[in-house]
Amino acid sequence: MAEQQAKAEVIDLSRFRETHPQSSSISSQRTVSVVPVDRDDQHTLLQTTLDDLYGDARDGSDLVQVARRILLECEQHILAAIDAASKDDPLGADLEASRAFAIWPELFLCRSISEGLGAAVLGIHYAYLNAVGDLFSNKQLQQLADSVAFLVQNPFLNFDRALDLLDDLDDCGLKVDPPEASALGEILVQDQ
Amino acid sequence: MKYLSKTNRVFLDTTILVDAVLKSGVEGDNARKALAKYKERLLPQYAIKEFKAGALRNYIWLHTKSATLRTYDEIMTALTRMWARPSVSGTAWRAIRDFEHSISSRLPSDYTTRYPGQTLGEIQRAEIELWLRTLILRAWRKRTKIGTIVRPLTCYSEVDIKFTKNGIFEDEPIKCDVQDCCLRAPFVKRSVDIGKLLANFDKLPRKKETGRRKEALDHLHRTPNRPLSEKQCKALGDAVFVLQCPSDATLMTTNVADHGPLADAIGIITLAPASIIANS
Repeated sequence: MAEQQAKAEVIDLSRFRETHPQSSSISSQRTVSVVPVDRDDQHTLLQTTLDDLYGDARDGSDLVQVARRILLECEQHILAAIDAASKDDPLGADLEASRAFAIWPELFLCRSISEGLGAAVLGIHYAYLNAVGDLFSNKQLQQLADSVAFLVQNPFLNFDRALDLLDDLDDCGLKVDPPEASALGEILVQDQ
Repeated sequence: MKYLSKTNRVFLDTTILVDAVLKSGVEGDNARKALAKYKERLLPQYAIKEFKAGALRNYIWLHTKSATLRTYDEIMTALTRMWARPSVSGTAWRAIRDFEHSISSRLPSDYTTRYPGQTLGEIQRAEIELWLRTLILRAWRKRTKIGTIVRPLTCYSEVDIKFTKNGIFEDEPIKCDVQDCCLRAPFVKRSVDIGKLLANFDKLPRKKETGRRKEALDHLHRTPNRPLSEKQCKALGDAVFVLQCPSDATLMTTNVADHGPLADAIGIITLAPASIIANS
């Protein structure tokens, strides 16, 4: 296959990392010839992570950064809850879970990132409310931790994938619909 | 367990489909627990047709309102105007209007400063829209998971609901649009059973729906060669489940009052989820 020549501007993302010694100046950009990516012998894969694109989640006001910061903080609390549960400390486990879900609602203000994220945020919020003060089981805590970890890495979530995530939570006994769903059922479902 | 059928098979009607996939409270829990008691769960396509044209369509209506109106208050006004009726409790109306568990009631106090442009009404509207979209799509997906789909309707196209780029659902077709329903052919062969059902109609609750059902069954019994209209097919309702239920299966329904006398006429066991759970 004939090599297709094109021009592209290549920006080395490593220069934006804190540890990189070089300054982030425009002059470090360069142009190269671009070849099809299936040419393994010539292609070098540049792995781009969300951290590269959006910087350290600990600061910054960009919506994605805010969402990832909250998600990471929630994840830490849920992992602390799992740890406390494993040490037979139900009070500690419940306290950590409550801390996670105290900061969770703000994520809904970041819903413009993706509809899937919005849907997942709501479902997990309702799961917490429906627990009505009961302790989450170890299986439920783990599923919540896995779900949050997934959202940290995948904030641009399509709706179908969000539905799968909610189904997984449902499968371990978490109710991902609001308590008002029963009232709505009474109104919308005609006498059967 | 004497309340389970000989073959541990259950045949579901629309009420069970609705409860199992759409409801999250006690009714939903009961339906799902009862279903779990059976090894073989049979879901007739007639139930899916009724579900799509009935309960699911009602939720899709509300979702369309949530996608097209501006605030939660406007959505509630539309809901009240369309659905207010004596059988709905004041508690239910208050619960949905107040929406105490809305995520909007737990936002940080300074959110208006840090997230300008997001008003409370719009946040609640977005919440109900997203949640309804989730509920509708999950319910539609779940219909294939609660049982094996049986008794296909040759005149009905079970087309997936679609979420469009305009942000609303398309749910057509919900009708068959045929002159002669596909159920006429198999049902006219059951003339003896239809006669037995008709003989038990005096045991049914007196309501308009019962009258329409009797007329449709009469039409099949007395004039088996005349076309069965879509309207008559719809009127058959509960009688369809009774006639289609295998003789060795239990017919599960929340509406035993309407199904029971018809089912008894031809020896079909009818049970509600609560009975199955209580007696197993």
